Amino acid sequence: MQPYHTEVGAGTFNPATFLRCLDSKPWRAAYPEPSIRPADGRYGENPYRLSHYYQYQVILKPAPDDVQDIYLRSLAELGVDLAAHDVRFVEDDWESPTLGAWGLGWEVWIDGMEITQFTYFQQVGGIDLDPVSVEITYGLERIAMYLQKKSSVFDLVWAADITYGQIYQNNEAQFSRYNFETAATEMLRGHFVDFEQECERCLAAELPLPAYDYVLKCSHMFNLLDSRGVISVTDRTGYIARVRNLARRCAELYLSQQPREA
Amino acid sequence: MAAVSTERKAGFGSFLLEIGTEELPAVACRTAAEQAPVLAAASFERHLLKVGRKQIETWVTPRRIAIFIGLVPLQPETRVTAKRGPRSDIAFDENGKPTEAGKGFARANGVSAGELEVREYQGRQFVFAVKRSTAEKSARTIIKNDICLEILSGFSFEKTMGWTGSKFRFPRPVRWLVLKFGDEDLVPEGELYPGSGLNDLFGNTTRGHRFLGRQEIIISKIDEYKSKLADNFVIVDQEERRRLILDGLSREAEKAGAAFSDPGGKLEEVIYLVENPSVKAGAFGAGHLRLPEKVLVTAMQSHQRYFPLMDTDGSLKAGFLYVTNGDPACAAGITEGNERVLEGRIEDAEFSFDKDLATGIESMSAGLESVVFHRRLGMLADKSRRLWSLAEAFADLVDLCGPDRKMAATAARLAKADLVSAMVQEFPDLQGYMGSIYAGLEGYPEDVCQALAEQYLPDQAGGDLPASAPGAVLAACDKVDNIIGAFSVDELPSGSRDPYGLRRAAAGLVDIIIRFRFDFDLTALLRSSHQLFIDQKADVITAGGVVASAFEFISERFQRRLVEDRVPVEVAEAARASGAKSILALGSLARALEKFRSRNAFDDFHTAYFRCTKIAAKAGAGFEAGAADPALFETEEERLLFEAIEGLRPLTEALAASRQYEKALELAASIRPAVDRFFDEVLVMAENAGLRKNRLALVTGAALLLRQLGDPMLAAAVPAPAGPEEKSGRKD
Repeated sequence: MQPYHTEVGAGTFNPATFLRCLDSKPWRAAYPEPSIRPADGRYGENPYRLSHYYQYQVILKPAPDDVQDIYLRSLAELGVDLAAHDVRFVEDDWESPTLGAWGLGWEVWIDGMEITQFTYFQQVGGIDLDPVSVEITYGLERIAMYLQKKSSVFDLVWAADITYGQIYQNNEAQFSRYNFETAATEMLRGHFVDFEQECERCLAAELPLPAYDYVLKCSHMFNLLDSRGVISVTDRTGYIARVRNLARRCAELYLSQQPREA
Repeated sequence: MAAVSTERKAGFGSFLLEIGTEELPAVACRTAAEQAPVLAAASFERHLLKVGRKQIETWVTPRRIAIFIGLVPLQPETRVTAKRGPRSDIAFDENGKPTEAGKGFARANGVSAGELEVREYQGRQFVFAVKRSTAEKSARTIIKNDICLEILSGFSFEKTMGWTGSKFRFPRPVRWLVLKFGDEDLVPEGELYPGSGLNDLFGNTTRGHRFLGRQEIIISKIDEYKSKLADNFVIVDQEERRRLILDGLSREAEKAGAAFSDPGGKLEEVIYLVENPSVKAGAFGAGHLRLPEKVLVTAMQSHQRYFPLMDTDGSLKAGFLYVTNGDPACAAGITEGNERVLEGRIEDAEFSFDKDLATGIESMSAGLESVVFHRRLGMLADKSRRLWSLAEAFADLVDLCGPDRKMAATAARLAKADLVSAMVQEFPDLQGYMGSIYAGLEGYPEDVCQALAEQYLPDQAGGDLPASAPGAVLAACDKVDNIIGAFSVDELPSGSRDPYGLRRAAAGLVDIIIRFRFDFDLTALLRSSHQLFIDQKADVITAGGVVASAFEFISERFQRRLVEDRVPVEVAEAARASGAKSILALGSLARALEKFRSRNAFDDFHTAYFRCTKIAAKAGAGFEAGAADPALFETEEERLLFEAIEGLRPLTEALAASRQYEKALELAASIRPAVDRFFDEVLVMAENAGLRKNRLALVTGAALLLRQLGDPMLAAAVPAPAGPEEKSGRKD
């Protein structure tokens, strides 16, 4: 599949994962996803930190019994010599308070570098999942850095004569300035409320897919406000609860519209 | 009464259960290693299969939990129970025929009267109903149908999950099971666990190291389990892995002319992250050594679980040791990868550090104005201002010397600045430490920096305490501010919920007070703290109950500390009832009471107090009754008691003030004769209301005087003395 058409913090937010893992119908999807995380930017000055980077997202329902082996074969396919390196599954349980989701799994290391998040979803949108889906999120820059032996993301060779830095370093600098210093906070707050209300309207009209788009937009508004540093600790909890509540209702409505299986 | 004896049949076999999993979290491995032998022992015992605890071996790696028992009897023991009945001459008549009593006993115990056995018991003959429950099943059957499930489902892990096709829950999916008794492979007969699919996982095949070993290893002989896995690059025994890692760490450190360190205790985790450990050395750019040591150590330890290297002089070297699960022959490439990752993490930290230096601690401090501490308790800047004032108040209470007082005040003002630093946002564990580094780089005195670094101590139960007086003052004030803040907004810890860590804060506060021998009125400090919230117009409960319940809360923690130090709990409670407001005073009093309790004089103290409080309680008079008026005395005994009280008061109070509590108790006990004479001769509950009130005030005054030295009724190991009934004036 292709990336979703609005800003998301991770491939998990894409409805191809969030909504599709709720019901019991088998589902297998893979897609690249630009991950937009305003607060993670470092003005393009930090070798590891980006406000915009790429994930390759795989969602498998039900989770195959040999999913670890399948995953490892995919690494081999990318050119990783598994026997010559130290590949490990290190516990990393995942939780997304805004999505009302959690799962158990690992971060996968190659020679100490985290290249993948591997999660057996247990709950999404506050709903217990049956069957369990497995989500494999490949960190594309990390894998490329490993394969190309680079210490800075900006040194990655994107194509023969152009680097990652040449394409994205200026973006990082500009978006960091925007996310941390420039974004109009009152406008963002206003938009959050507008999107929240539009989501409510869609829910009332029993349209979970458009409603969920507005959850994503709310989430992005919240992320921008957060990176602007105008959200206090208490506010923060409140905003997260509002997004989670909408996400939960979208999930419930979506699920209620799925044909029941015998 | 039932007696149990055992009979054993010969013949033993070995037992092996391997639970093959996807990579378990280290904490689940530790849990499994602790619980497996206990579970196995209980399960075998339940089925009358006697195995020695030391026989049970548990081997845990990230991919397997194995239990091996060398000697398991082939047959369970026969359980023999013998229940004693009536004497044999009652159970049988002179012809040896069972009587009604004999038959009844036999019936009640499920044996026929003919089966009753006559045995001697305490020199006389009794009948016994003896039952032998011979197990119908062999060990083999019990293991495959009962024990296997009991062990599998007996674990209690902190977090478990479900996976496809399985209703069974475990920390990570179970992928294979090996169950052997002797060399035979066992599979449970019925469905082991409903809806689990576990039955399909049984086989004779285990798996080696994920990348270096074979993925199908047939265990045909049970004794080959360990060695076949070792051939496939799996060291199953965690203790062996620990030894290998420790040896490797020492060897590699020696090679580097250094010593390794593990301040974060990562070894315990690393043992369970590898099946085939080898220790390798890596390096990072020496230029990074300009960073504060703890920053580098945190970058190495927190996520990567590397072991920092220290030079002989204790300073950090530009190198580290790490444990790999990979092929030692490929170490060069693996090390290169690990070095690149660490280099990136350190550069990340360096970026934050430089950004913080550019900001400076004063402007960080200004940044606290816009960070919320608590919705109802203001911003972090408000907290800083409170700490500053509270440190002054504390300095007054404990008579801190001039220089320390100044240092503590400066440290309090700067204490929270680093919370907005890029570094602490990246590594929260470095709070306090980063502040001390930044303050030092800006030329603040060393004492101020040390206080900043010590402000969160102790950061765990029994952890290090501040070493400097300014650090102790700041650490104590920070804890008091947190406790009073939470109590002022009614967010008290309850049950297992203690989101602000207040119990630990209170225990830490007590430890600091004890270590620095801060003998002061703690309620006064708590009041000052509460007043600071009120003065800031914070949205808090203003009633004095806040201070009282916070004091209770802290002194309860102190009581626990006393009990840990072997002061009996009733003595600690008795001391707390004295109303002493200094933690150190409470401690001295409790110890004095503990000694005094075994002396004869304690009985005088106890009886005098008991007689006074009992009559007051009967009359429904509280301890608030006013002072007695000598003008209303009618008898010599009243006057004598009054004089005794007034004579003793200044003396016991002076002794208490100088913490000579045992002497004070001794002296207070000497009031007993006056009390006894009073009760023997004087009718407290006189008809005349004025007289009655005055006499009640007199005995209450005596009780109050005594109780300042602890409540003897709480301290008494024995129940209250059954003294003569006091003259209550009522004609029953």
